[in-house]
This record gives sequence, structure tokens and C-alpha cells, in this order.
Amino acid sequence: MKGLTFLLDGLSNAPTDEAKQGYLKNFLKKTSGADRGYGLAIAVSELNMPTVKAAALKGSLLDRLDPKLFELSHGFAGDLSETIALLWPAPAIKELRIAEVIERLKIAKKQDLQTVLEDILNCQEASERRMLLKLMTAGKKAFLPGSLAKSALASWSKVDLTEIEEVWATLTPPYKELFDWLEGRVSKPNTIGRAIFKSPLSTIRLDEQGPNSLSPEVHAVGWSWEGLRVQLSSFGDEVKLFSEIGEDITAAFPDIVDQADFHGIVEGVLQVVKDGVVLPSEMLQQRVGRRPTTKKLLESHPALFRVDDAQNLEDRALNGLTFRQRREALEKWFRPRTNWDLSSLIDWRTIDDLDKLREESTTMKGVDGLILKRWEGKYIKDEEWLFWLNPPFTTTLVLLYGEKRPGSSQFSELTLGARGEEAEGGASILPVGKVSCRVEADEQKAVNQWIEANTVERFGPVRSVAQGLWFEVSFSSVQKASRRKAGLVLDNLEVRRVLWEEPNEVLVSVKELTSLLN
Amino acid sequence: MQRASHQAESWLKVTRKGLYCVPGDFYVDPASAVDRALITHAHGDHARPGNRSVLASKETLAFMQLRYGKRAGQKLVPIELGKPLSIGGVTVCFYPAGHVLGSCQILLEYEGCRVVASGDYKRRIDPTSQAFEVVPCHVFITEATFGLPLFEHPPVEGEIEKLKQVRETFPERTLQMNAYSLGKCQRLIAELRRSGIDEPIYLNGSQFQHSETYQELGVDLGHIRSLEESRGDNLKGAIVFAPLNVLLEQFGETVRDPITVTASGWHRVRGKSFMGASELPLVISDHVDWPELTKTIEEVNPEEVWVTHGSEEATIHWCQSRQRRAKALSLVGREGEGEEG
Repeated sequence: MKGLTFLLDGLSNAPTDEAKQGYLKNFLKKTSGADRGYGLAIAVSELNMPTVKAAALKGSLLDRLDPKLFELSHGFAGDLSETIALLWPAPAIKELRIAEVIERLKIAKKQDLQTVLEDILNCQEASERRMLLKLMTAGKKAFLPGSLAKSALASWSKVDLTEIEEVWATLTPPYKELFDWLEGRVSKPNTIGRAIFKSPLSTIRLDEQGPNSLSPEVHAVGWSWEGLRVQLSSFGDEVKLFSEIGEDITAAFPDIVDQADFHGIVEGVLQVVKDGVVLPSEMLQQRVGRRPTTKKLLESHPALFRVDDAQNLEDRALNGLTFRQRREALEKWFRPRTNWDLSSLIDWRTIDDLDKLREESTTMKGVDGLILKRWEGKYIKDEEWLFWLNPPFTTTLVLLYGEKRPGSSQFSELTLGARGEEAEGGASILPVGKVSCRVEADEQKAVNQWIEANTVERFGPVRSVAQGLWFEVSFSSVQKASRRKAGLVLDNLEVRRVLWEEPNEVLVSVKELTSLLN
Repeated sequence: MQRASHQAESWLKVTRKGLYCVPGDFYVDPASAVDRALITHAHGDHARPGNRSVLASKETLAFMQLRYGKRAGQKLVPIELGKPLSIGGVTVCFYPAGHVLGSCQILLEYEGCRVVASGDYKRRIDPTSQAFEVVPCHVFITEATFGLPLFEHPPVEGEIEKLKQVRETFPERTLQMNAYSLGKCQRLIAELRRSGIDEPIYLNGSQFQHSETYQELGVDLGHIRSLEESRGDNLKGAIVFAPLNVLLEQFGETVRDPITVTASGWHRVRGKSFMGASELPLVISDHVDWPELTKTIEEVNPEEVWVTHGSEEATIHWCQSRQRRAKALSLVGREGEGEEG
């Protein structure tokens, strides 16, 4: 278990994705067999651990500890499971294997679970006890996104990432077939009859001027729907819904998944749509975050799947076909289902037409521009889809807080504000968005110095500053955010320029930004 | 007959300036400048500048001079450990406390009543500090920085092993060590040496100065280098004691994504790692943990325990539930959870 604690601590504290992957690769190198598989599963939150209530263990601990000392300790640490883990007397510390611990807990009958757990705690060091109790009391938590884990696996094993992505969803911890394959002992796991994820095509965002050498003979055009790009995979008796990076989100969208009465892989965009109106992306995020979903959420936040391509239909792979052929197959195959829609293509002749379409899209709810696909493009690596997105809004905001990312000396995370309600003594400034400041090193240095010199209060790595530094920013849209004071937050906020002098125009108001909500 | 410990309250007073010995007319670790000060150790919350006469171990005086220069005191009196002296009828004797180099407990004996002011102390073996000595007394004044049963510092070897594993995982990344310049820094270096790391270790200004003083006082820290004088060096994978911004500003090109390391007893409790975010928080402390605190009280076996800074309540409760008298002693300037631990 020592190796697992080291891994999870490293993943929790590492400042960069690269470092997180480094910790995982080190773990893969140093462990083997089921220990390795279970460790990986815990890191990416794919292992269903049996759960216990920390309070139940408290009773057992109080048989051996003065209740007052327990209460004082709990008051200090704040967290019950951590308090119990640290106070637990472990009379027989020895190194336990990860697989042994997991399997003992898994096969324990419900009424024996606590006894089995206590036996394990009796052998563990404090940091191991804390980790195990957290895993069993706090609900699932990913220490590393699955996509980072998969690319770490690829770089560790020198096996192509797309191949790993393809089999990943068909595997279960401790992933024996996966490691046997990655280490060359057996061939790639069989995926016949399994809902697999197949890497989607990469996408390119055109700059604001848009395309200049396009023709209707070469490119098909459709609306670019604002939402979550997904892949629905259905084979044998298995149906799975994946995000663009292969995260399994099936449990969040039964309203989409239950309609899959076919075999194949179809793709498109998910939105929350009620009575024909596309609702804010915040509501889609709530749907994605709730797994399994709830009946109430299904009713209040109904999802719509806008299908726009397919890699496989009725067990026939379409990857080798051109988009024209795939589209034809898709249109022939598609029949309307509840919560499903076929995303249509738009007729166009000239670049001017496209310009007008894109202009038109700025007034459409749930559309952020156009998507362009080559008619003759196959669904294979190196083919790219083009996005011509609406130009972002621009405005000027004032700096409220600067924050250092862990392990960095730069105040790179900035919270920016707009003018709130007018009141006596002037208007308040309310935060409307957080942005990673990506400016030249010299300018970043100057921003740092300015923040140091104008700090009003310190909250750990965060500094509040006096009003006096402005940023020209761009953002794609305004989202409702009921928990924030301003009631909104700016999406895809980016810094364009640092303004060292007070701009001439009055600072934009929250009210003006609110008007962009529609 | 009066208990000896009860009697102590008549001649040893808590004042705004700190613990004051009436018949001897001196203070122990005063919070502001006084005429005569007995200092347990050179950390800033115990040794303040501006006292007229200062009695302390020669090491403590050396660190005070390094830090305060002339303001260390007008008259600096080095005290030999274990050798009693008399001040105004009070017998005073210094004993090692094991906290940092030169740290002492101070025994005060007056009219048959023995009081030990232990300052900060620890019981773990520390290659850079003389080991704590148990001094029998009627009243034991103890810190309780980690006076809760959930504080139990793991063996230091295991923590250093973690550091070595992180190095092995990322051989190219520099280790940026955060440690208090007096004590923690040198102890970490000594533990790294003990674990077989013999390469040069780089140190920033104050950490380098204190470490040089350690070496002059006979503590071997191996090959240490001043960061300032190492501008041309490639610090990839090196061990560097310096603030992150200093390291990045001066060596930004060779130091990419350093591994930030902190060492503190507070790291035992996750929610309370208030040393700031670090990639590698090591549970290493220069204070006693709970098992050592309670063991020390039993070994010293005083009639009464006076508890200063830290979690007094649990310590007092523990004493009282074992039929030992105990009370909190609120000393000015030492409340709250300090930066070091």
C-alpha cells in the first residue's frame, strides 16, 4: 500500500499534468499484477470500493481512547475520517499488498466489512489508513483524469494511444488483459460485441477572418452546436456514451442511451433543450456532473443529441468512407427518436454566403458558429474538421485578485471584475470571471510586481489588490451563475492586452454584460 | 506543608514581558527587551533583540549575533551546560533540549523548589543537536505545539525515503526545499547526508549563513554551497534550499517545474498543512509529538505541569486524568500556530 499512497499523494500535489503522469508512470514501473491494476483503477476512479460510515468506526476507536481527547482532536482536524485514521492504534504494522486489501474488502459480507477493515487498519501506517478511509468514506474521486492516465499508459508501454483508448472502456479493474497486452504477452483484447470508444477526428479553429479558400464542392457546412461533443457506442448488449476524450458518461444520460436500438458508433453534440429552446451550458454541466442522474434532473434539464456523423452503422465500419458517403448512410439510417435529432447541413455557394450564415448564427441560441467538413474526407487519422466560430466579445475589466498556481512564483490566475450597482460612495466592483494570464514573460513579471506592490490583503496564495490595473479581454459568451454575486460568469475568457493606464471609457457594468445573456 | 509547586508561583511570575523570576530579577525568553534575559534557544519567538545582559548557550549566542548583530545584547554571557550558577539566591542550570543546535532547558531552583523551563524540545535523534536530557523537577514548563494525540511524527528515515523516491521519479527536476534557516534546514541536510546523499547542496542567503555557523560550531553538513555564488551552475536535479521566487528568478532557465518540498509536523493533518501548498510535504518536526510529550512528562515526573504554547487543553486534560496537576501558562508572543513546526 506504500506505493499507492505515494502515487495518490503525488497525484494530489503535483503542479502539472506532466508531473502527474510522471507519478503514474513511476507506479506502473514499480508495481505489477493486480496491485498495479487496482492502483491505476483507484487513480482514475474506476474502482467501486465498498463504503463504510466513519461514525461506525468511531465507536470502536472510543473503546480505546479518552472521548475528550478524541473530541479535541476532531475539533482540530475537522474531518472525521481523517481524525479516526490518525488516531487509530495500529499494533501490527506490516506492508500489505494493494490487491490483498482490495480483495479482502470486496469479498467481505456486509456484516463483516467493518471487522475486515479494522483488521487491515491495524496493520497500516497513518498515511495508508487515511488514504483507505478516504477512499471508503468520501465517495469516488479521480486523482487523475482518464485521458491523462491513458496517454501515460501509452508513453510507458509505447503502444499507440488510440488503440488503448479503443479497448479501455471494455476493461475492468485490475485490467489483467490490458497489461498482458501492453507488455506483449498476448494480443490486443478482443472488442467484438463491446461498446468501444474510437478516437474522434481532430478539429481546427479558424481565425476570425474565416476561411478564404473554400468551395461548396469541397466543404459541407453545418451549424456548430454549443455543447458537449459525444460518441454513442452500441454493440452486442452494451451501450456507452463517451465524451470527446473518452470519459464514460453513460450514467448521466439514460434519456439518450436508452434510445440506442442499433449497433454502431454515432457522434454528435449534446445540449439541454426545453420546449425547443437551448438552455445555458451551465445546465448541461449539471447533467454531466450527476452520475447516476436523477429523475428530477431528467425532467428539468432534458438532453438533446444532435447527431452529425458515424464511424459505424449496424456493424459496418464507415471510417474508410468519405464524408459524402457517411452522410448518405447516416441520413438513410436515421429515424427520429425522442431526444435525438439529425443535425442538418446548410446549402451554400460563395464565401459571402458563409459570412452571412456565420453572422446569422450569432443570433441563434445554442450555436457558436459553423462546422466545415471535407466532402471527400475519410474518418481516419489526420483528417480535420474546421470550426469557424463567432468572433468573441471584447471588453475591458479591472483586476480584483491575483493567485499563484501551486509551484509557481507568478500571479498567473487573475480574477477580473466589472462595475456592480451604483451606490452611495460609488459603484462596487464584482468578479465576473477568472482567467489564466498568458502574456509575454516580461509583461508577466511586471504584472507580478504590480500585484506585489498593490496588495491589499493576502489569503494564502491569493492577493486582493487595489483597483488600478486593467485588462482588455475577449470572451465567447455570458453564462448565468446564480451562486456568484454578479449572477453571471464570462465563458472562454482570454487576456488580449494589459492596460497599464486607466482606460478613457467607463468600466463595463454587470448590467451591460447581463444583457448579453440572451 | 505547602507543595513545592504551589510555592513556585510566589517567585516565578507570568508578566507582559514574559516569565519573570522575582528573587533572581531576570526573565526567561522575554517577549520584549529587558535588563537580564535567560534564553532557551535562538528562534525569533524566544530570543528577541535589545536585552542588556543575555545568558545563553554559546551556540544560541552565536545565532543571536548572526541575526541581530550588535542588538543581540550589550553583555553576552555564554553558559556551560550542566554547570549550576547562582543569581540572586536562585540556582540556575542549563540542560540540552534537543530542539535545535544550542537549545536548552533552564532549571531554576529556589528554596528547595525546582522548576524546569524547557523552551521548545524534541526527543528524536537529531545529528545536529544535543539530545534532550530528563531533569527531575517539581514544576515542568512544557510547550504543547503538537499536544494532541493525532500528532505522531513518523520515523524521519521514511520521510527522507519519500524524497529520494520523488527524485528517482523525476531526476531532472530541481528539489526546492523550504525550511526555517535555523534548525530545520540543517537537520534536513544532515538527514540527507545520513541517507547517503553526498552531492553539493545549495543554500540561499540566511540558510547558508546559519549553516556555516553550524559548521563552525562543529556540526558537519558536508559540501554546502552558497546559491548566490553559484550563478553559473546547472541546478537540474539539484537540492536547493531557497524560496521559490528566488530560485526561479535566478536560475529560471535550468530549473523547470521544481519539486517544492516542505517539512513540518503540521503536515501530519491534511486539512492543516498551512505551510502552503507543496508537492512533497514531509512530516518532520523539531518539536515533540504527542507520545513523546506524554512520555517526557512521565519521565520528568513533576508535581505540576505548566503548559505554554500549543494545544494546552488536551495536554492539561491528559495530566489531570492521571492525577497530575496542570495549568495553562499564557505567555505573550507565543500564542497561535507558528510558522515552524
